[in-house]
Amino acid sequence: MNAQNWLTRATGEFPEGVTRRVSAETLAHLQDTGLPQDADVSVVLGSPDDTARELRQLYLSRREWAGLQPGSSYRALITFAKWGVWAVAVLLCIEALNEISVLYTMALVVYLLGLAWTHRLPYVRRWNLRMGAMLATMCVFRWLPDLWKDAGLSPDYLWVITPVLLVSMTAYLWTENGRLRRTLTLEGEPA
Amino acid sequence: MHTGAMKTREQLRMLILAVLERQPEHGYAIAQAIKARSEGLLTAREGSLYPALHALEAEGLVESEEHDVGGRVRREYRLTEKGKGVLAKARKEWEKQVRAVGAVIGGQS
Repeated sequence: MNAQNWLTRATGEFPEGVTRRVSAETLAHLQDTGLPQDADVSVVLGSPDDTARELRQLYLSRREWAGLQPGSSYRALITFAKWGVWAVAVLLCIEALNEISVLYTMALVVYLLGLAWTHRLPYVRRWNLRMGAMLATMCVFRWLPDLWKDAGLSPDYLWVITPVLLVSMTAYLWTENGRLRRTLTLEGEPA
Repeated sequence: MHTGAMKTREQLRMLILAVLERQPEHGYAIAQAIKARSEGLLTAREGSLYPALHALEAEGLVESEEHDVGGRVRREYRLTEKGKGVLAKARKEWEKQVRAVGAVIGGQS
């Protein structure tokens, strides 16, 4: 497999900035090895599929990146989410006042601190995190307890599942936020 | 990178940091330094090197800059203060593991 074929397989699915940086570094590397042109570079570089898999953990794919651009359905979703994010804050506030609940008050404080912290972030990262926080809050405080109740399950288990769910969702959001930040950097946009 | 002794991504990350501790290097030189210092025991699947370097850079453990080296553009990576701290911690952990394994397989009773 020559260098061009290797690079196409390793970086073909990524946005332009990511492809450019990885290609430049890999071609410089191959130049330093002194391999003849059209030599089988996989002897030195290994499988391009392995590299693509590792890059996938670091960067968004070309399709994911295109899905975030102005005019995409995701951007339209953000327009609605702008209302939803504040509606969830109001909902938490009402619940905290209704039940005089420490749990809801804490959730409200954490949620509002999260909104304040994301304020300084670039547009897409800001709304990505805010929508994630909104969905996580609804899931933990509304959808999951309702589902649990409807299914007639013991509320004891809810205390175990809720933190696990919350930690998993936060970890997922954080990972995706990292991929987005790195991709924005290589695409030359504010990250 | 792959050998029986170095399989995980974490090991590759620590080897990169250790190489960069001496001086800033570009990708090819890092791969060569790992090979040379390990006396060829740790050979490179060098396509994994750049994703690992990018991840280290994203975590703030290394930083990079493009340089012109003899008319050729090379991206040089250097260890940051945060990277030095992580490397020192990893080195201590590694020494502990080596001592522990050595005590078991060294034949002491």
